[in-house]
Amino acid sequence: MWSETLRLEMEIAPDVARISAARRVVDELTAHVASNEDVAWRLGMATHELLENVLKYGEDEGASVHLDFGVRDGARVASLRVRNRSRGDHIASLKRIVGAIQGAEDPWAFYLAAMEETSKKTEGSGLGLARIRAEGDMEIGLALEDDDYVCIEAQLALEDA
Amino acid sequence: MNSQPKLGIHDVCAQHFTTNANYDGKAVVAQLHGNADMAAQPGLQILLDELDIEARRLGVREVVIELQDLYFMNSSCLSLFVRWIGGLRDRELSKLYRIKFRSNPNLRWQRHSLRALSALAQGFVDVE
Repeated sequence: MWSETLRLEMEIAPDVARISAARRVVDELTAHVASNEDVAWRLGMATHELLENVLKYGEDEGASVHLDFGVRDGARVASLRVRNRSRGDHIASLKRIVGAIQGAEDPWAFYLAAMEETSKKTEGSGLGLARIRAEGDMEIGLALEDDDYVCIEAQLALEDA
Repeated sequence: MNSQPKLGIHDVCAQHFTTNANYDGKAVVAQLHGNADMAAQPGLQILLDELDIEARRLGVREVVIELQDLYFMNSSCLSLFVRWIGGLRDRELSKLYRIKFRSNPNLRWQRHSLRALSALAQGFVDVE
């Protein structure tokens, strides 16, 4: 029975090397705490994708990363939150994508549809959040603060809840 | 003496991402090593473009992507494979080749992402 708790906070100015380093930190630490490599991979991948979004679309250099293992509504969950200041156009895009993901009945069907769209485009991906939802099996949420700060939460239900 | 035709495929030699490709007489085989993240994306784009050109020039029926030592791939690099597969899907049968991914079952990303690419390809991608 898994019973350990974890709380990790990082303030990071993401660049390519630091993003991979942050992914490895989350991956290795959560593998030990959860004793589950699949949980570790999902959280590491989500950390990587969310920080790359910050690097591509963030308004300034910083982001805060919060990861904690806890209990929500009586169930054990891992919650990953990445908060940063972002451009208005990107916030609007995020709202649209997160709303579509939350409204999708089948995350894998949504992901494959996003891949179909991507296959027809010449640049850009737009797959990161859909990947977290489908491959990571994580719920995605979005919160706005002070109009230009955005916090994306990826929440993973833990099997030993 | 090696009588195989020389491939017009450039190796990628980035700090954390390297590739090399060869022709084994039947298939074009590319090995990917390291981490496919944002820094790897330009090199990977060129590699996939050149793989397609050479596969068509040589008339091979299969391109093999060896992923045993590729520890991570981000969604931007994944999207390059999505476009490659999407482009192949629209091609007439005589110009179509199969893509085979040789995977590493110990690397979690490959289980999930290759499942998605296989579903997208609808039959001409193999994972082993």
